[in-house]
Amino acid sequence: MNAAARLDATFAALADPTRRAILARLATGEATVTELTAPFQLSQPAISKHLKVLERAGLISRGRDATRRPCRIEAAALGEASAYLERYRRLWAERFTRLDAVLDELKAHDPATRSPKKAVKR
Amino acid sequence: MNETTLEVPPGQPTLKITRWFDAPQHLVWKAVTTPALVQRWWAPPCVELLSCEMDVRVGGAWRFLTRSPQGEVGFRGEYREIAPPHRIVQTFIFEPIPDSVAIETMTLIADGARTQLVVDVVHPSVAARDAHVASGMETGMRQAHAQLEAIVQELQRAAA
Repeated sequence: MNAAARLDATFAALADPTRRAILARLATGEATVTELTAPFQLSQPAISKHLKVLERAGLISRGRDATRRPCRIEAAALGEASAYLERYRRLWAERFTRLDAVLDELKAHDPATRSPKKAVKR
Repeated sequence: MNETTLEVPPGQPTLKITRWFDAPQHLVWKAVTTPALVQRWWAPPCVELLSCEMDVRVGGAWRFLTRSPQGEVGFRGEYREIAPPHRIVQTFIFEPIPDSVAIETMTLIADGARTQLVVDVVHPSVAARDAHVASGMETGMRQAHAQLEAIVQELQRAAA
């Protein structure tokens, strides 16, 4: 496969949410098809099909053990998997930045937290 | 800006999110338990929160319905513990994967004028946790793909 075709295969593989979830799972350690099937509402053949797409894109490899054939994430794809976690963290960080704005408004109207400059000493 | 930290212990079906807020505990409690306020911070700007139902009492239900260009997606659960102004335990279900029920515990730790918010999430399995992380960032990923597509189209036009 040439570089452009490989890139196409990688993006096509990553465009599917189930395959991204499979990759996120494999980022924590190798797993068999059976183990990968459990969390998804999909049949084992459907999961196997996704695994073939991931394997063709070079994102995962399969073990040689004929009965188990455990799947593992490829080193190059690990960077992508840690990017998943960073994007998830950012989702929360951005949510909390919006919460900051709501809290600023609540503070401005709360007698206990209103700016001390406005407090008048009698 | 206060930092948001995410801990994802390998091999355990849990994740923890921690963040400090420069506001007292009672106001943070109000902001996370009042639907009209949650409506303003929960969903990213590219996602419309169509409804934000919160029956904040033990046994009460919550449901958030979102709409993005990709369609409508719901999130729901039930309140298991409500201890104002510092602790909420609730179930969390991403409706496309309804059998995967996570338990979320939100704790607000008061420290004078500041409050530390901690969300502990326990998923039924490590795989379910990872699927949740992957689905959580899906919107951003889809946006990235749409942008990439636009760039590719532009390059194709330039080459034509």
